[in-house]
Amino acid sequence: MNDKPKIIVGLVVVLVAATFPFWYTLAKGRDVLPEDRERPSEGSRCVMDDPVANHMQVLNTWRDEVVREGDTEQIKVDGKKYHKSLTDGCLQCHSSREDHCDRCHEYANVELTCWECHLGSKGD
Amino acid sequence: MNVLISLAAVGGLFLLGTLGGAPGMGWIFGVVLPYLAVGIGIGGLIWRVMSWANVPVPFRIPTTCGQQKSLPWIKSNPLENPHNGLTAVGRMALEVLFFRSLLRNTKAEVIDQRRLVYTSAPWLWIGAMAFHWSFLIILVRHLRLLANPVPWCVTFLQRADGFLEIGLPVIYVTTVLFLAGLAYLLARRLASPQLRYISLAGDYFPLFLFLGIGISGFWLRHWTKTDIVSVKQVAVGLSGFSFDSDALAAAGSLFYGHLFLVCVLLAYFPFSKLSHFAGVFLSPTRNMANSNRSVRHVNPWDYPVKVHPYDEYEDEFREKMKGAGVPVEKE
Repeated sequence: MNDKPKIIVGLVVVLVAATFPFWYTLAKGRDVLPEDRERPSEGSRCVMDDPVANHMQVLNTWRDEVVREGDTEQIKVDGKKYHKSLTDGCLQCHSSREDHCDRCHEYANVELTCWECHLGSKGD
Repeated sequence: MNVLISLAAVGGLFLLGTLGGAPGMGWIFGVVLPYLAVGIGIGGLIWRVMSWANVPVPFRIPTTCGQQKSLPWIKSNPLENPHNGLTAVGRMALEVLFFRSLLRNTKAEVIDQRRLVYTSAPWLWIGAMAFHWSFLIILVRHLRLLANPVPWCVTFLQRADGFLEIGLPVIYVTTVLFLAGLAYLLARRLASPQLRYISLAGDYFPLFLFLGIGISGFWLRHWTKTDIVSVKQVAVGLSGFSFDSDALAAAGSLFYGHLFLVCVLLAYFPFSKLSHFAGVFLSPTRNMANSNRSVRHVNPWDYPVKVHPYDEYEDEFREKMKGAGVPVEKE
């Protein structure tokens, strides 16, 4: 008289698919929050005001300026000069690629192309 | 008027959601409301679909424009005019996955001031395909925030979606298609007087809601870049029932605006036209095979009728019939 059994099967399939994040997390374990991120040490500062949000754009701008336009002039922040470079700039302070890049990038599944050419610090 | 009410409603809801960025409000907007919305969404979907499931299935309605299967030398069109369950599934799949009905959209035009001409109008189909498929891919892509570790298929989809490698962070193809599709579907309603006349607030509100979600999502990724690690902590905390108040505080009000609109969408889904997502599977003219003539269909709710055939009638009244001179078959 009606298609109730078929409809219920379809509904269950949709509900199982819709709740995928819950049972996936259940299967993978509840320990889902990552370790603390690397924080800047006292007295030091980054060349950027908000590096977490905007580092990718600065790196891109630096690449364009240095590699494509040949403008290798150093930038000056608080009277201190820095190279516009990943290897000679950022990695001079943040030496560990694992702590400084990979931890968040892997956690948030943001893939990056830097290491296709650049080498990380020693041992990487 | 319907347009302005819907726009104001979505704008107001977004602003309400940004309150989640205020100190301590993260628990309400980042934990309580999302669970409530998922609960209402799932509960509402079950209620809605079960209310349909109780309705008796009508007799098969062969609204088709293809040749029915009959004699072996007459070529039939099984997808247009399915004759069994399998081909009906085929027609259903084309409808659900590729919105075949929308391709039948036509436009009537008077040319030379006297000739009425019907032409194909595929833009509705194109806009709908762009919007719906992008929406699905965007939903699956968001699993990178809700699942840890991220399943490989999500990473694959993300890579394929961003293959143009334009901008940094990379602009996804589906982001553009989603917003463009929505913009077209909205412009179409607004531009045509006939469509505007039949459009209700319930038609504009979902469009603005999706636009609000899409634009705030684009904003979070490309303009005011959100703290993605905190956002993932909030999201994965929701799917694993373990919460981190630092992450809830760090997620930012724009993120809460985005999340609140998604919560509104989830709770609104089953009670609106958006439930066509489930309803399309129950379209009687699409999901039943046209076997009206090849298979005998007995009305399932026929009850046994009490009949009184002539021979029994004669047995009952024979003597009276004879007395009245009425001829009888058996003496």
